[in-house]
Amino acid sequence: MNKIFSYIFAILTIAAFVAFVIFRQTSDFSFASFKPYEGLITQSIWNTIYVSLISLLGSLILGFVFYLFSISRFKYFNALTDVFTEIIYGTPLLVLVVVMAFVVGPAFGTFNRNVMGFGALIVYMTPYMKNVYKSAFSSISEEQYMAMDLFGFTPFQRYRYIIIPQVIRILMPPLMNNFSMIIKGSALLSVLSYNELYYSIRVAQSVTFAFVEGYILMWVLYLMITIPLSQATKYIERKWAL
Amino acid sequence: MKKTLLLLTIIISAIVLASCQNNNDNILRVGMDLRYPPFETVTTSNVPEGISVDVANAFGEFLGREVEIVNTDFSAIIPALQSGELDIAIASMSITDARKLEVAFSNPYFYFKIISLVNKDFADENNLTEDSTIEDILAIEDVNYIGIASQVSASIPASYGKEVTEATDLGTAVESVAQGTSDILLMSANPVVDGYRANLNDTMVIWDSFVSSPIGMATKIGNTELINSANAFIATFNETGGLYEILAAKWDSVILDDLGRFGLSFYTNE
Repeated sequence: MNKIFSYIFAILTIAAFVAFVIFRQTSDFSFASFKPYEGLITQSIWNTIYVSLISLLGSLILGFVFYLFSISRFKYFNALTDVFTEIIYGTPLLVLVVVMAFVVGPAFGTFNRNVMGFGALIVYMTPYMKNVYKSAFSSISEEQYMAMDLFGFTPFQRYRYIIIPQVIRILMPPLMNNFSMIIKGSALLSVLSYNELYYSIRVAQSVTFAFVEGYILMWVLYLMITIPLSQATKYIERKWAL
Repeated sequence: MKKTLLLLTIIISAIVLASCQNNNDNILRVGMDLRYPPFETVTTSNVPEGISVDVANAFGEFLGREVEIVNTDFSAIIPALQSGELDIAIASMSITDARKLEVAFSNPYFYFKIISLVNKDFADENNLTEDSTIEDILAIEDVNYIGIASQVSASIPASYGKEVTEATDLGTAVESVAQGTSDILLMSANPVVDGYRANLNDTMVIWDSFVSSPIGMATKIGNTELINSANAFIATFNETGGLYEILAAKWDSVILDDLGRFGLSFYTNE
């Protein structure tokens, strides 16, 4: 009970701070002026989730490819992984988005900026996903492989009964964290005029000029997506803990 | 290992194939940033709308080509023209010497008077009123100008030797004038008045215009065919029943409502 009260007070503290900030700026705080843009904003929330899911899926696949590269016997593939990782780690996502959409895309003759923006998110998340795989697979020790050999498991049985149940437990939490990172990063697609959450609010603001309300609204809406996700992560972590 | 290589080959060829979609030649791809009402904006259901959209559609009719409005961040319009993504920008873009090095411009079809949104306290301290002149403004030392990166609102104060803070979008620029972190924002009339409306107690408008900035359509350098068509199209605007009349009928009341002083003629006269 004590714990619950502490959380309530903690949330109230932050809420009080936000309220203080708001009422320093505007006396008649109301989201009413965004009401006509409800459809646009709802659409943009779905777009944000959609682009995040696509990027999650894409980076899962590409991350796995790079994980295979990193454990490959060919030194070239190891080096390629290292160089790629180093470059991506050193690149701000915004720079990657702009370069992909306005430099790389046109070079391949594609002017579909949204696709290139999705691509930038995927490429950006790939090294992080590669690391997720790396830590997950390294949790299966040599002895287990020896034991699997000993009992004559088929590859299907190995993955179904030994590897995947262990790996998924380690995989899930960082995966959900990365998903949350993608959702937050997707706000940068607004520079491509892609109608995601940040962009749609700015469009509405360009007409309503209710900036304080708009920024608070987009903040709250992002939290409404990310907080349930991080709570779900915590729940899964607890449930699947060894 | 071979499998990995195969997978890699498949991925790369998929990317290349996906990128080889041809653009339909008959579609006129018109770039604009749909965040500047009433010229470029969207309806509440995200359909492009505005004076520039009407100009674009009329130009499509003039050419007999279908028009696609490509929503592009203002600072990305010139790169997108150069890369060939856009055929033409009808984006309320001021014709400037610096931009002429990057893109080809048509003749001007609108004139945007660049006026000032001023922080109220700053205006009171310096005895500025709605009808002060730009000389009054320029005479004041120690002014924090704010402009929007890549727009004339940043380059005009700079041309008078003033220091300008660059904001990335109109919202933050207006907000910083209202809050007093900056003193003056120079913009075309609609954003200035809208910004003033949203901050009646903290800001005011000074109507004397810094410049009357000519607005042109822009294409990639060397696309003389399209520029010539654009000029021929613009030449028809002043005719009876021409586009100025059509636009005035539709937008006069909207602009008058917004500016409180002027209708469309505010933009069509130099």
